[in-house]
Amino acid sequence: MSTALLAAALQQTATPGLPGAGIARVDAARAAARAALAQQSALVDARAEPWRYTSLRALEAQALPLASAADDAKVVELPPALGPRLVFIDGHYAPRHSQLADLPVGVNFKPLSALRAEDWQVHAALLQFVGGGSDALEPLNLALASAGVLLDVQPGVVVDAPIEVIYFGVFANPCAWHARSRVLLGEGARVILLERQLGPGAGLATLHTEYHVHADARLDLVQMQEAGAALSLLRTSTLMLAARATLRMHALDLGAALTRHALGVRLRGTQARAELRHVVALDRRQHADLQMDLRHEVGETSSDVRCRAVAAARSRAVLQGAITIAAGADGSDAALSTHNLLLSDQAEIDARPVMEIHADEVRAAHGASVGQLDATMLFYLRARGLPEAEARALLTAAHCRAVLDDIVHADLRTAAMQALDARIQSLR
Amino acid sequence: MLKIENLHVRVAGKEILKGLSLQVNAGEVHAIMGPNGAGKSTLGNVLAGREGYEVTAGSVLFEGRDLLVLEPEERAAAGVFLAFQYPVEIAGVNNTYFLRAALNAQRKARGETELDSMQFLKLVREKLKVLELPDALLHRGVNESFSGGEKKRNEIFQMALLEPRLAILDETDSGLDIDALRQVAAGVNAQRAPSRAFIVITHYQRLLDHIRPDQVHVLAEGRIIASGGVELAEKLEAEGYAGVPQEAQA
Ligand SMILES: Nc1ncnc2c1ncn2[C@@H]1O[C@H](COP(=O)(O)OP(=O)(O)OP(=O)(O)O)[C@@H](O)[C@H]1O
Ligand SMILES: [Mg+2]
Repeated sequence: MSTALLAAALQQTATPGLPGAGIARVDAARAAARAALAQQSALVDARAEPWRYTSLRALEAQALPLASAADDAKVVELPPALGPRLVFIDGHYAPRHSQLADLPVGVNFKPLSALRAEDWQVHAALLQFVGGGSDALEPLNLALASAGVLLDVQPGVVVDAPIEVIYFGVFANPCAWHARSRVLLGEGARVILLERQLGPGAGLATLHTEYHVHADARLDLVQMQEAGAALSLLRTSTLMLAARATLRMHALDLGAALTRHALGVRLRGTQARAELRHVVALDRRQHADLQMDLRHEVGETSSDVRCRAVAAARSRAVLQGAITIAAGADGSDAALSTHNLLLSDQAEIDARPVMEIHADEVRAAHGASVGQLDATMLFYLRARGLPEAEARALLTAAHCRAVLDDIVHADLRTAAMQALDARIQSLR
Repeated sequence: MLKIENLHVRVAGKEILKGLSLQVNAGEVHAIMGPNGAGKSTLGNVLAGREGYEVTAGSVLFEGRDLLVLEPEERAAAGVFLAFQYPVEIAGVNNTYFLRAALNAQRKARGETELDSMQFLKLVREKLKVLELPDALLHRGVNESFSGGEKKRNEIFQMALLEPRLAILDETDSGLDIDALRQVAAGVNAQRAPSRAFIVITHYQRLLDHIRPDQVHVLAEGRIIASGGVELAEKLEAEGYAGVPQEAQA
């Protein structure tokens, strides 16, 4: 017996016209994914530790249809583009909203649906299970992905303008769509990548992305999740960093009904550095679960993780953050902090930073706090005339802004701060 | 303008103000001196509406209205301003943004038109000059990494910007160097007007050389125990609080 969601998904694997259909290796991979899917009885193993905090029961009970291709002529309000952009509407590539005109030389950036047989061959990893496919999530995503991008940046190429990938949901009736992406930065390349979820669309979206940052390359990644209030978003991001590679990632979880993000970071080369900033602002019954797994696999690597969660009403934020310093990864440096605000006594924040150290000569620091707004600050602002609600919103935003300050691209930083401020103002 | 009668206030279960009475008329400057822990800041906080201060008896009328029923922001809009003894650092809240939001919130509450950013900046430039505060402080967080003296001057800058009816300055002179003291005094004197009143809490007669008060009060043990002119401050400076004659009581 499989769940309604899974049974529907299995039937959907017969959907014609998925990206790469007709290309032998793609068809074969999909068939394998379909077979793996058929083995499963539920989307995830609800009893497994990583799913302890997030229940998908309500979701599994819905036989969600696969999102049909949106009308590309449909007018959707998108924020102004800061650089090249690929837009997907309800999980389908929307060329009229995309912008690829000024793509720099040495940057291969295209939607899955535009990949040619050679692309699928070179980037065969798009057709493999990253996490080993132990639950139904990965096969589901692989079998049904209609959206997603390939971003392949040649060694030494530096792109100044942010490259954008936007997933916009318009469908009012709950439906499902899936996206699968691969991002590759060649040696010494530098890219700013913005991934953004927008629009009122409801239902289920799954997103799998693998990022490879090669030696001496730098990826500035901003994930702005402002999805519709009735969307469940299940996301996997796996980032691999080679020697002297740098990742600076800002993830904002502001929208959706439920999000669950499995974020894996592997520091694989010496002097690789990962800076992660995570901001969550929730209200109503929103639920956001971040499962972070950051591994220092070799020595002389560094990481700095800072999380800020704000939970109002009956919302719940979960941060399960593990940093592992593997045996032999001597001389590594890891810092993990989470500072969180509870804005209601019915809200919940479960922050569990964990550090596992198997190496020598490491520096490791971690701290966690959950509190309320500072009464003295609140009084100071009100004594100058700010209404209480406004004073609270300002302080709440300030709490989160502290980890957005270091977004390098100024316009992107402004956009992130604006999205945050708007969200905080609307918290109920 | 301000009429405090027989005010009793408890903080954390302990009675701090024990029957304090004080009347301040428009146009006047009143200095309040008194030993540490006497309740001076408590008085300022109660007037500004801070939480945790329980008024158990007495009344406070501000321009004929019961001040104690108002929220802190309503008091601010009505024209009450407290320069904090310890201004609070608020990282992440931009100083300029905060000042404009505060000013406009007050104006809105009073039914006045709000200032756009051009009008506001013009006003800011004007007021900054008097305090000789560097522009750069405007771009930081509220009081963030300000020096002690900068924080105090910033309080007076805020006062100049918000143009309150009644300003309570809680030890704004403490920790200031001689130049800063002069600037703060200039800021206050520039604001003196027949329609405006000041309560200046201080430990030092020195400030009163720059800001000439109409009356000086001694607050001790939760009450005003003596009132007089500037000569009272001079006497305190010379003799300390032990010698305050009870009969000098107002
Ligand atoms: N929140 C509080 N909890 C407990 N006691 C308090 C609190 N606030 C003030 N007090 C006490 O009330 C008394 C008066 O404090 P207040 O700050 O008003 O004194 P002050 O006259 O301003 O002193 P100073 O000259 O040192 O600034 C002190 O004994 C102080 O410890
Ligand atoms: Mg005091």
